[in-house]
Amino acid sequence: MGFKIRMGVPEMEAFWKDVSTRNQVGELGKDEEKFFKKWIKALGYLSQNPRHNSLGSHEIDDLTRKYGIKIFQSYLENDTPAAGRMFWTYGPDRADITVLGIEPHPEDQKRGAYERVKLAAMPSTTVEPEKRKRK
Amino acid sequence: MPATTLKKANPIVIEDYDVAADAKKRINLRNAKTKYFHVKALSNGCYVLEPRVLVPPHVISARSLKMLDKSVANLKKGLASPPIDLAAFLEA
Repeated sequence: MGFKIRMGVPEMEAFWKDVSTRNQVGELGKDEEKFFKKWIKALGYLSQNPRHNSLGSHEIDDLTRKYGIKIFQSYLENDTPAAGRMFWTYGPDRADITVLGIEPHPEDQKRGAYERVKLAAMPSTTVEPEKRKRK
Repeated sequence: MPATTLKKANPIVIEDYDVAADAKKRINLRNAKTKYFHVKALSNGCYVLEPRVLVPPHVISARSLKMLDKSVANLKKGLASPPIDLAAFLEA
């Protein structure tokens, strides 16, 4: 059974329109093109069989609890979470799948030495400096 | 000079020293408490280093989570994009 793939609104739809249009006119950068190729391949699998081995699809319980609907995650590259992931759910109609988001976020895709290292701000408790020793 | 009291949240100077960059323009941080830093180079020649921690790769970024929030909220109202046509891209 095939599924119709839809994009979540507004951000995913806008992102899809942007990259697909720029792909057609050959305006994608090298990295964007690589990402788009992987994404298209994954969407193809998703539309044919959401449980396709290459996707590694699995439900994310925390997100399911948060939103009250079943949220699944699929990898854009076989068994490589860092290469990109997409979050999706069934609906709004029968035989529909809606892609809700992707990771990394399009604006998060930094290039350079720190690309492989995900960094975040320190938890506030550990940032506090030690008390100065009194002489 | 009147004594000033520093608020607990405000950082205080705990070390104060001069360093020289080596031939490759690298400097060493003495007794650095963390391994990773976010570095900001300012136009006046100053550098600001903020400690960072590694995040597991499966964690979702704040931006992506916000994107999901909006998509789910709209989906619950029955709003999603029209079905996309993958055929043209898959054939290419």
